[in-house]
Amino acid sequence: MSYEEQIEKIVGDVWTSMLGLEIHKVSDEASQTAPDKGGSAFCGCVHITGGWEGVVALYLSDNLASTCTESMFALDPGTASETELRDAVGELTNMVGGNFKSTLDGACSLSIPSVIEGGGFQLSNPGCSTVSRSVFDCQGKTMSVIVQKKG
Amino acid sequence: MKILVVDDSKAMRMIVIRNIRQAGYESCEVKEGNNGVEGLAAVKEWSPDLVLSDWNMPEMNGIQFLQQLRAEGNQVKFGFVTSEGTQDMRQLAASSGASFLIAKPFTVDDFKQHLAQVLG
Repeated sequence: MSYEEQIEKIVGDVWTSMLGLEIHKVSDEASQTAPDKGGSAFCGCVHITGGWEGVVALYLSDNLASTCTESMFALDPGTASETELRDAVGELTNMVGGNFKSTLDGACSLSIPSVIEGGGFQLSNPGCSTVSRSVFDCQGKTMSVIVQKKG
Repeated sequence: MKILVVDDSKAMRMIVIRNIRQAGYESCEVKEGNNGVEGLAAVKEWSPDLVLSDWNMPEMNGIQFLQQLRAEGNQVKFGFVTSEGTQDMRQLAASSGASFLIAKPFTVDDFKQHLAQVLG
């Protein structure tokens, strides 16, 4: 399975099982305005080291971050706190990154997730290049998942 | 019945507790911890029947938490709930004294199956 196929399966499993939300991959054309291309977003990031080294980053649009957080915490719409938003995005990143790590050959370690929020930021991982980019739609709200590999 | 849930994510602790209740353990007492250090203190103070712990946590991770418990002679039933479910990690979990490892994402049925085996 390619990296994109692995990520698509993992994201689908996580969103369905843990959030009870339908999510699907969108076309390249639709992905040009995805959260990793600018605008305000929550970005969760985990590093993988060992037999495979790189980064898995999730960029959730603000409204998708809210929807996912409300689902995880069983909150009413529009009531998620900043702390809850960061926690939820971090945990979703942990699950996607952890499951991706399980597909890799060789012993690897997974970092604790970091979460960045706001607009106009750029996540750079020196020495890494993008090996997979997938964009998803969940209830009309978007998420980008980027996999970068070192070397 | 007392269950200690240890995870650095409050969101995940809520989901785990929700799944414990949905698995049929509505009346059990549940306490929470943020990491292995808090987990160790809670086990000593509260004597739970079961610990459900994440693996990847700051301060003290889940496997260190379990190994410390066993090194101290504490045989509390212990299960991992983690996003990292490789064969190597399952083997390490089992050899360190864990009864099971539930991989995220999980379902209520995963909880029903594993909790029934250790708690009845």
